[in-house]
Amino acid sequence: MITDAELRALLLDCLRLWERPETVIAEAGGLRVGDCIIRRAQAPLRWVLASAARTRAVPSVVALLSALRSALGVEPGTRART
Amino acid sequence: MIPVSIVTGFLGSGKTTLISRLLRDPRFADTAVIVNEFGDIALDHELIASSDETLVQLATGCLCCAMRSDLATTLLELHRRRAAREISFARVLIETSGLADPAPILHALMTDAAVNERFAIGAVLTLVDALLGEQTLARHPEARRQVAFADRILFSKTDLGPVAGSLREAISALNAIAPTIETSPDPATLFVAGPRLPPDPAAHHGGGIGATTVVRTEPLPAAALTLWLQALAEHCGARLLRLKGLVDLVEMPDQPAVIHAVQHVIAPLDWLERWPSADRRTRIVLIGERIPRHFPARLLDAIISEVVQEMRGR
Repeated sequence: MITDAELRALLLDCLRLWERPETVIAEAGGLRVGDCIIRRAQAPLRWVLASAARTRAVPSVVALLSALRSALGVEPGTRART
Repeated sequence: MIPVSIVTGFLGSGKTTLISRLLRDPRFADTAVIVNEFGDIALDHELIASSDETLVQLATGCLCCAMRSDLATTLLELHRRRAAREISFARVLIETSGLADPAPILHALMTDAAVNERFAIGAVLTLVDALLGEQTLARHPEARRQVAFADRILFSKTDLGPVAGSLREAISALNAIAPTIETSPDPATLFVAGPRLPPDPAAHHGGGIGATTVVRTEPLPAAALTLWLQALAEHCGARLLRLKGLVDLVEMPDQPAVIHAVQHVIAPLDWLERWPSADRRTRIVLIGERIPRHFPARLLDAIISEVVQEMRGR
């Protein structure tokens, strides 16, 4: 299982990739990114992303990154083409 | 499958001279050449001594901008004529215009199903002028991308002077994995492509473009690899210039998977019959623009951890 420290490092990389000014702050309730809070969720889900606008539960870190990207107002990413 | 290789390099770097020289070599005579020129008066095709039948000029625009479908059409027409025994060739070389970005050309080769059935991407050879290369790389982003996409880098005009150490450093910062060649090239090895590890597995960065390597000793679940490639495409997009590597998959323990991507376009997995050496680690090289150095590895580890957890039923 990915640790909070590992998730924080990954999120910081994403913020740099998305050229966002936010940072990641560890709080008692989870990891805060701007107005969003990321918490662990019960199986079969893994994460909950809560923002002022909505709360979403997601099943994977890949889905979490997509949801955070959207919540921060970053334009949608590129869909892989094969 | 007929290999298609790309010869690129900035304006005046010596692409046409190289191809003309190669075609005079009997070992390289069986080659069809597609020359892309960008300008009102196209001259390069006149300078290449080749059979008219196997020399095709694409002069209606820059191949990387507007002519991707023309490239596929041209390749398929060459193949048709070869199958009808009207012409003969064993490989294809594409000479890009001096300002071309290799990415869209690779996309065209990777995404056209009919082309994919008949042709295989060989290598991207980038020429760098030994005398002017450093200034060119400093001034022109097109030249930096041409170096970043290279499988091999050939210094041209070395008869006029030695290759400066600072030019080597500039190239290494952009692409630490492509071998450099500065003597008369051996045609037999010039267009051989393959995943390579940089001598130092640490990331190399220059001018925003850098290479990083992901190495894993444990086999990866195929699902993790797929999710990782999709997430890289989603979050890196056009910043991911190239990705290639050998992957040890849980599902195929004896055959390494060859992965290859250009920006968000991922080629179908290919398989080697066996591991080429005793080193059976997964080794993936990424070249990108302003991609945080540890992002690919951190993302992969996070995905593997979840996929393995799922496979074990949590």
